[in-house]
Amino acid sequence: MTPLLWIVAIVGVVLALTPKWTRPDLYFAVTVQTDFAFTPQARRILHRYWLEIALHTLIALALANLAGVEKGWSMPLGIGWQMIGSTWAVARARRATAEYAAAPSPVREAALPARRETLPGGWPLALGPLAFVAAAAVYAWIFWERLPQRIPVHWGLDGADRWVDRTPLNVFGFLMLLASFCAVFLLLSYGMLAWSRTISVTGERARGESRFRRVTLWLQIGLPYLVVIPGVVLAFWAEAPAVTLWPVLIIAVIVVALTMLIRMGQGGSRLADTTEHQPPIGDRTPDAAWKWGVFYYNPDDPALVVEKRFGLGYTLNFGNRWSWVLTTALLLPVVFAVAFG
Amino acid sequence: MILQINVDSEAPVYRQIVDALRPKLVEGELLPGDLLPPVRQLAADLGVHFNTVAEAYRILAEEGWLDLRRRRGAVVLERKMPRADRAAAGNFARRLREIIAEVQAGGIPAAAIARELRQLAEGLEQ
Repeated sequence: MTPLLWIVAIVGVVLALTPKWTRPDLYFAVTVQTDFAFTPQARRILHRYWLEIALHTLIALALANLAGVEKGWSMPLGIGWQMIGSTWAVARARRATAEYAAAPSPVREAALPARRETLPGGWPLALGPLAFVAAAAVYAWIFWERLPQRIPVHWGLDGADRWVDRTPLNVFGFLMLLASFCAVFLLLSYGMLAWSRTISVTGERARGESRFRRVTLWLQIGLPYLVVIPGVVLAFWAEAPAVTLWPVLIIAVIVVALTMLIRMGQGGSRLADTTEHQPPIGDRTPDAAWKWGVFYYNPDDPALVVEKRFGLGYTLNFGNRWSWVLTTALLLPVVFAVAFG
Repeated sequence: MILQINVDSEAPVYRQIVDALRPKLVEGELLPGDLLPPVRQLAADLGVHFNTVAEAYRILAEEGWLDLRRRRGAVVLERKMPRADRAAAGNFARRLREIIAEVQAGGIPAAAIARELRQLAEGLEQ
């Protein structure tokens, strides 16, 4: 089984489990009563969703399996089919759930005085990867001749599999790519602190949400370190020992963090803990602003970063113009890398 | 300590924020030097527009309760109680009667209103 097939299969499993990780008063991105997930109607919607996800994953696996025949097309076809098919399945389940939608509580709460949430490790830790890229750029400028003639820029499970010649565009373009990656994660972390909301303000729910936000922030701050430092070292140091533990380490960190987040449930609220009929608190976002249950667009909402309604973690409010700045910052380096090889 | 609003209420949200914050300032739940959330953060937490929160903070700042600081939020100020004139006292009595009439018209028994007023009066005397 090729790595691509593994990816498609794992994504299929994750998609099937995702509805279980949501807040108890949300079901397929629709506000519902807190015990709705335990009703026969909800189970019927979930079973139909599982069937569709299984079907789309099998088709995606079949398409991806064509890699041996036509490598260039099978990957976008397989992954693309799975993404579009699963989005369709979520949207369909959402339409079915909308019939049982409940009005969220009109009462909204905020903590007083100001909450004192900070970046884990402070700004020095968060800026570390960017500083490392800047130092690498200075090193490349001063010791240009010491850089290898051919620089690896892409790695697979068996090590480097794509190289470029040592030219200023390639070297500094590669560093720009890493810097943009760091900047996006930094902005997302800052966005969570300054431009997102906390939903629960007192009691165990608030503590759970606080822990959830903390782990998410640690993940956002830690990932750039895991990508940037080995990337620069392997690119600039021709005799670097094969760092086979690097991808294993990245995957391990992501798996540990995701396991913690899954155990907490989205926003720190576990579905299993709430089986009683309670009015929904809501997440201060209107159902109608969630497009296909996945994309949030609400120009009237001052929050830039909001909790996902389907899936773990946070997403952007595409009704806020800053979200487009962030998205462009994320996509530009990718476009640059594709355009300049 | 929490600030609570009801988006279904007939009272405008900025007024609800002012009415929720003022008792905390008067009764000393919020002390001089305490930092209130920045406008952007409070607006995001409550899911309302920036201007709504900014207007509420502006009213309290004009009353002398808050010092508004760009990006950092609002700091609670040490405020001397102004000396009320006779017109203000008359106005208070009129408003109190209006409120009592309004809640009585809404069906709340006079005894319940009296009990609540008595508790408030005892709290004030302490």
